[in-house]
Amino acid sequence: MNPLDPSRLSLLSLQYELALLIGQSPRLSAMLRSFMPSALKLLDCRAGHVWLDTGTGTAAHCFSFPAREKATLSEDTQLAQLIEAHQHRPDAAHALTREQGRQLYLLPMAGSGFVILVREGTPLESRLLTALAPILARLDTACRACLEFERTEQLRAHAEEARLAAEEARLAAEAANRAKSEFLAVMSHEIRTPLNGILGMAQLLELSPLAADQRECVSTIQQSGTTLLSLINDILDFAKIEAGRLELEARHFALRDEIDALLGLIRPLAQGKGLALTLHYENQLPPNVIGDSTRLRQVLWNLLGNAIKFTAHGQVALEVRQLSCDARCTQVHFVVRDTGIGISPEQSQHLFKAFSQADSSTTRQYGGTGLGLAISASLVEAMGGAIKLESEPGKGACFDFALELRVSDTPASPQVSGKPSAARLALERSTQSKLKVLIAEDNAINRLLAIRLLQQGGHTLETAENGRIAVDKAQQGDFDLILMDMQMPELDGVDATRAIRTLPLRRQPHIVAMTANAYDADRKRCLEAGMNDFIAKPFSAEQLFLALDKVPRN
Amino acid sequence: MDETLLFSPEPTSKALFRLAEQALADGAQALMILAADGNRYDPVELSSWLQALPVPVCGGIFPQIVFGRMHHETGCIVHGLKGPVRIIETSGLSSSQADYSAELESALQDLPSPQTVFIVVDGLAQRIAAFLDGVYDMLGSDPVYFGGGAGSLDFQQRPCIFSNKGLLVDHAQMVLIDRPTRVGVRHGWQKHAGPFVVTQAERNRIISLDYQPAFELYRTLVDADCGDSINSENFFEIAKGYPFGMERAGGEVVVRDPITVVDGTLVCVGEVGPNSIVFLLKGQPEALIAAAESAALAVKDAGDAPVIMIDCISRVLFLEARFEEELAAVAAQLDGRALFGALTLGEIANRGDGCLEFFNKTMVLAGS
Repeated sequence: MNPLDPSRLSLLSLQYELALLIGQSPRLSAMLRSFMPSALKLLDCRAGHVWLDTGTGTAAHCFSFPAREKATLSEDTQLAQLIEAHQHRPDAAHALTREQGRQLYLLPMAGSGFVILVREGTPLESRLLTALAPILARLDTACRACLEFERTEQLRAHAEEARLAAEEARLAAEAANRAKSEFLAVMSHEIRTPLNGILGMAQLLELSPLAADQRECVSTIQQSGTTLLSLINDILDFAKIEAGRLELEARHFALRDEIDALLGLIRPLAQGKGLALTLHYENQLPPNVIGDSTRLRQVLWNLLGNAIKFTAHGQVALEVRQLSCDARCTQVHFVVRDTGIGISPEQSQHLFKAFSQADSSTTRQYGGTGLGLAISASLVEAMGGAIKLESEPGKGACFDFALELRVSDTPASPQVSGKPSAARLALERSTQSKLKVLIAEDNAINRLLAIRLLQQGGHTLETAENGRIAVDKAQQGDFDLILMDMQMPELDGVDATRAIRTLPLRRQPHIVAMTANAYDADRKRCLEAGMNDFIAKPFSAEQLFLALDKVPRN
Repeated sequence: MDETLLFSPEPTSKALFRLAEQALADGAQALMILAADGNRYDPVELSSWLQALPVPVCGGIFPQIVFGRMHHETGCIVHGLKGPVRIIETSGLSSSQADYSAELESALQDLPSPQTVFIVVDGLAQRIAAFLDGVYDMLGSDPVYFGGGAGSLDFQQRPCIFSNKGLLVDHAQMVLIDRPTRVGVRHGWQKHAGPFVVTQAERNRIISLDYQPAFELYRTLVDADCGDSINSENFFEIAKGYPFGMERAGGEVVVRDPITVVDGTLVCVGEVGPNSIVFLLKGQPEALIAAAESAALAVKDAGDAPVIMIDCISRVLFLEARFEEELAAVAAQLDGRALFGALTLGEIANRGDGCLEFFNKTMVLAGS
């Protein structure tokens, strides 16, 4: 191999050194700053400037070393001449010698821009300019890569900004939703507490000797209170659905028994309007299924209640049919049909939306919050179905939905709660054995209500105005039962229960939460603290007696 | 401009204080102090004194100083300046993270471009070239730059820059002077072997050359020429005659002086870029002296102010007794004009027509 002569070797060395100065950073400015000073020293030039097309179609000045000299570029007429020459012959290098032997070189960069070199003294040799061409092609590639990198980074930064904004909005929405749920829970508690007093006292009053007109007044108070309670329950349910906190239970239940009990309760409403209430129940349906019977009853109650509400003449029919069945599951089709006023297609579009009825006059004529159907639709959806409506104005309406329920081999335990007969039995039983009861309740009216109800059974009663007193009394007295309000000053019911459960008592009392906090989560919290049962306020006399019935007797 | 130039060969700080007082009494508006490392000043005492000075102060402690056509291992020179002078200091001259352009941009904002910039750096700092790139970036190619590296020949980094803040280490200092200056920059070293690729380098350390441990290759080349055996003990004694050179497009060579060998790597005065091409250089005393004379010719007609000499200490060590000839050759060209300066660890200049560079083993003369 022939050795290279020194001048060719110098040229190759220069190319090698310049090439390896390129691309030391992915950012354009930093990349050029790590290239240009060393390149200028190697080329014995005093300044270097870079023009690049950054995507606009025209090359624009983007870098100078030394940076101080970029300010003079716009006033340099000779530089402008060079740039004009470049526009006519973009692929060629252009040179110009100015006063005092200073030279300007314009070297193209593969069509995307050019480099200007400023040098004093002897001109650069033409073969050196030729040797620079491939170096500037590499520099061009590096510049484009840097621009692409910066564009990508910018896009990434925008995407990250958008993500953060969305995250912030999500957190704000969640916080707002939490605040709303908490507000509803608090309001619900605040309304339930006095309502408990109203309903309870009305029940006590009903038991006393009254004149006919007085009895009617008491009955109206009870009906109004019950309606108000149902509205509060609707709002609570809706809040739970909106907050995504609706939890379904999987219980064994007898479907036919559930339907019969429901019809038994709602029949008086239909009879009151002179409507026939019919049931078609397919007998091949499995007797026992697994699902949330409470929520199913709530949906059917709502649909049947609406049907009765909006039907003046004729009948309301409930059909329960089996669509399919295997060893594990059954598809049950529920249909509620009426001969009422019907609904137009336009009205039906927003019928399942919250706070919406067919039209605003409906609210005035028939009452209600407009939450019932929205809640029912959400409950059915949560249970895996969808409510559908077929209707024409004046020709009645037909709501239907299908649910897949698991078939149960276990016979459902007979339902006792809520059945008046069972409640009466409980009352009788509760009066047979006397209990020593501590009523821990800070609200004087509710305390009085509990005292009056329990006095009917002849039980021994003591009261505590807060959790601290309740714990003290529990330590001293040997109570069979403590009725424990959840929200009390000084020490709340949950903490008081925890304290009582740690006391070295001869025997631990049965503790029943008695509270206006009606969420399932509250029930869980009570049971986890060591309570045995839970009654939501406002409670009926029957519910209280049923709770007493569960107290273990000596 | 009638400026004071005072010299004392005494190594004591008292001598320095006395000269400074005299310059101030003569109406100096700023002081440039060049002191010899042999004085072994107490840095604490000197810092207190510097902080109490009523005028701006610049300069440094160098291996030797030059005054009266002689070089001195002890003593000091005080130059009382009477024109407007602005001094800017930069710390962290070895910091790998420092962005000197950004730091200087705020310091130099709104300042008019000076005609002359005198620069003193800690000659043993590791990022001198990067700092000089920042200076050039911010001040541009119009000013004339000259200066050098302060420090000690034992190559231990210690406080060596005179400042109103005290005696500074790992700093750089720029003195902006509004007066035109002409510089002459020459070295006289010739290519001996090469080119070699710096295949691995870190700031001022060459780790490998042509894919071989740097010292191994260097030793092979140097031993073959000098007939001796270079090792870590006698390294500088022999290496002072065999520096590296980095070639520029016009044929000029920028010298890099290897001063020590540490774990097989060659430590230089100033950076050597990775992937750069270097030659091994060799000097002939006659060529070096002729180069110094040529540098003096470049500033001969600059003006009548004292000429400042920034010359590399390793030229003194290389030329030994013949360094007197170099001084005489320079003085002969200056027609009796005063000559003073420092023998430095690295020299700074832009040769008046190119980028600002950090040189080694080079004669820089500045006349105005």
